[in-house]
Amino acid sequence: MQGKGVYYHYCISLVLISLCIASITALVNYFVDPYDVYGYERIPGFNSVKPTAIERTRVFKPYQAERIAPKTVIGGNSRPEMGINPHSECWNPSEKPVYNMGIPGASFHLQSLYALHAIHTGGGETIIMGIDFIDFLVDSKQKTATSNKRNLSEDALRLAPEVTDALAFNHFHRRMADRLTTLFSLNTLIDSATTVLLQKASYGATRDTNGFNPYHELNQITESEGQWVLFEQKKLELEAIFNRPNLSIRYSDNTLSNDFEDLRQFLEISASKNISVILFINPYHIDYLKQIVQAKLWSEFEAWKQEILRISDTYQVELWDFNTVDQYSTEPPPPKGKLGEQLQWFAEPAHYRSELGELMLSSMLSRQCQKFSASQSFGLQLNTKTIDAHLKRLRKAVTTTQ
Amino acid sequence: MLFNSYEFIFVFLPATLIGYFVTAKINRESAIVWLVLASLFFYSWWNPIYLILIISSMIINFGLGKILINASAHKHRYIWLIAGICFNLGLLGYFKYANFFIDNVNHVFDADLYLGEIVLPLAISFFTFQQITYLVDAYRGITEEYQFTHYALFVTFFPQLIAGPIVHHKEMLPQFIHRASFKPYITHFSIGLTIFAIGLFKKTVLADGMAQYATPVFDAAENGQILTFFEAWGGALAYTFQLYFDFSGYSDMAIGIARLFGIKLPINFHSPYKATSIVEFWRRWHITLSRFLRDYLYIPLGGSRQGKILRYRNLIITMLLGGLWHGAGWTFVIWGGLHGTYLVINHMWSHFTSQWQISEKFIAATKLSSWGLTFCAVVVGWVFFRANTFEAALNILQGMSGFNGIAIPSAVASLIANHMGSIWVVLESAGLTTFIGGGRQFVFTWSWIVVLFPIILCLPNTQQIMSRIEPAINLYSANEQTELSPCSKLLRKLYWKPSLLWATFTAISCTCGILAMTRVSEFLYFQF
Repeated sequence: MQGKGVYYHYCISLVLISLCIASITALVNYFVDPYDVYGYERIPGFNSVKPTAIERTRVFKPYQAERIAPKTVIGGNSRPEMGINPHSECWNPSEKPVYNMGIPGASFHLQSLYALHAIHTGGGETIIMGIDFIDFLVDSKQKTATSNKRNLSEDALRLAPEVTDALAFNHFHRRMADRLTTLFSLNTLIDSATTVLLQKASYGATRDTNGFNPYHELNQITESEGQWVLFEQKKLELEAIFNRPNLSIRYSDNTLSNDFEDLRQFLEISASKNISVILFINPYHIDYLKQIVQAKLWSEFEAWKQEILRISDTYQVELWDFNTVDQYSTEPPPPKGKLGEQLQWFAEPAHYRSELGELMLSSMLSRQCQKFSASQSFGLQLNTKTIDAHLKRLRKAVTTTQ
Repeated sequence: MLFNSYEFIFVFLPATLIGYFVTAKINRESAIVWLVLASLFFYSWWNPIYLILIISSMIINFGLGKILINASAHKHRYIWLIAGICFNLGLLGYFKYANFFIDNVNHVFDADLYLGEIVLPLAISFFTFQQITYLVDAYRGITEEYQFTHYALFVTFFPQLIAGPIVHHKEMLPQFIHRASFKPYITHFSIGLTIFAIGLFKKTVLADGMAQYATPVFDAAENGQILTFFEAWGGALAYTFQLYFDFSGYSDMAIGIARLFGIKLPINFHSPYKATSIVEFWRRWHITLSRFLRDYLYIPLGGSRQGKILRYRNLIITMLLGGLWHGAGWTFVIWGGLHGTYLVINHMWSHFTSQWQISEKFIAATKLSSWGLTFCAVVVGWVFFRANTFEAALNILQGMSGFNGIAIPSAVASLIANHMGSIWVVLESAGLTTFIGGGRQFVFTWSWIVVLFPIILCLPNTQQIMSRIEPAINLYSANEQTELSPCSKLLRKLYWKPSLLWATFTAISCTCGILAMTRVSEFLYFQF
């Protein structure tokens, strides 16, 4: 056994080296800022592309929005996140800056809280909110929730307390945890290294500083495997979702799913804060619409639209429906093995490209702003007088289109 | 409170250590009381209500132990022993197995009995076994205890309270009351911190890193998804590594923490995946449980004293009950039965081949094939151990056997086709197909497996690295013939010493372990 002095040196070295490693880790994570939490400068070739941020949108977007302080916010899930571009030429100067607060995979409740947070941080005036049928579906055998008051998720705690009614302490605690866990984290360090290494990769996944998903991956996939893969994969995913038993917009006691109440509350809060809201139903490729039919959910889909219109009418909010059967939604996907070819309007059945988003903005903002020449206007503003005819037309078109 | 949590590492552990050595300056008993109180606080962190259970259990067992010790000449004292064992097993049976029993009764008799939800108290399987060993040892006159606080510390000592190692009263009490345990020694701190750091790294970096690739495969199997060869093997191997690094990491951390207090715990693992037979595997996996099952179940059943047939019967019974101990479910029973069968076959084979002389040039090949067979048998066992249903386990095994085809993700296939076209042509003509999606999962799963295989096969284990300074008690001395250890010479270069190099290595392990705690997860063995 060696003398005690050797052991003292050992322990002191261990502590000092540990502190050094932790400090270096924090510095690297801060400067690379792989999730864009700190807003440290994006340096081309070093950290401008953020490939690992894509799985942490709920963490970084509230902070990113605060830095942008938007006048206009795009809300919703992953579809508007990659479909509606804040850089679009459609926006008037008075509407800028625009921030895209689309949160992939989130419930409508969370989507709406995130959108309200973003508009709150910039004192903005307009939210353009995408809504999705899938987000409103529940198990019809489930009993209605006794209260529509939702428990705040951990994610929501980092949002402005004015939006969430969270306790200031919980908000502070969540934000401190975000800062510490993104600085002193091995995962973040690995993501920092990945970020630096993937700067040169062509078509790297990333999120822009304004929250937009440019979906560069589409180019990579179409070149390596072909776009048909994305269509095939989404088809399987949708089958799994739509094959869940008892899908409905209503609970067993015939009350509407909680998400409708979340929508109502979102519009109520927006009205009380003089925030102008435009609601829109995301466009789907014909393959998606046909899968709804195959799953025998079409009547539910129509009932959903009727209910959304009823609520939006109560608050005198515009509601746009971009479910169409036309040259945009019926582009046939490239066949298996065909590499390098892409559809003009859709990345896959559930996600439209920003080119289509331009047409949507053109309709919703009543401006001719798209770069692409469209032979006809896209989408339809719904109202109680036209909805039945519109739904009938759409139903017929979907069922008769091959 | 988890060992891999900020509150444990930065608040509870330092505060308990300081409190222990400060109270030890007053007297020995106050330090022991402090440690008992700290341990009960540690236990109550999950659910304070179960403090009532553990404290009452300790009081009753201590009382029974005292009766057994005081009535050493009484001819009917075995009644007290039976009463004590029944009490402990009754408690365990109610909390752990009552609903399982009711479910089976309902199933067989088409009944509709309902007991309500019974929450399994944390660590009940471990502290029940530990107290049974105490009663049996007291009955046998091997140990005795007259101070309740000492007994309470034996049961609740927080490093080993939740998931072992399962300790014996006679190996712990002398250490608890030894004078040297009450002074802080820099040697203990150096050794304890090193072992703790290695364990933390195993848990938070390796086990938790691997977990994210095991869980989706078992979930998919449970949902009836068809799994192809590489997917099924990827999930099974991921869990095989996860479980080992999780539990051996926990055991290392427990041994390291105890050493900070000057206490040596028994070792629990000795590179089990290097074993070249199932018998050897069980000498190296969860060693303190194997010891318990051997001493308190297998030997009392008759062990190997009554001939081969009864020996095999005893082995099967022991392993079936060992399986059931891990959880109230038929998959655990099957896992136990499977290992019992493995052991019987292993013993029969050893008997059958005992006269064989293997030529020198075939020894390496024999060892490699023995290892391969043992490892595969263990992986198959883990599939039952992890799967929530029998059907899910069969689904994975069907995939592993190749009946669902051999396929890789189309993204990986296109990468191979684009860069190594001729290789892809060969693979495709050999029957390799593709499936859509899951490319990232596939690549990461197999990357982890490729990294972890050399670690479990080539690197020495914690006890071997620390063997020169006696890191624990009951160290296992391995026979080279019983393990596949392709880099055994590496050990000579990796013996721990208090050097700058080792301080750097330990600091890296410790810091990586702590920095990986941003996703906190429980230890797998907490559920047992």
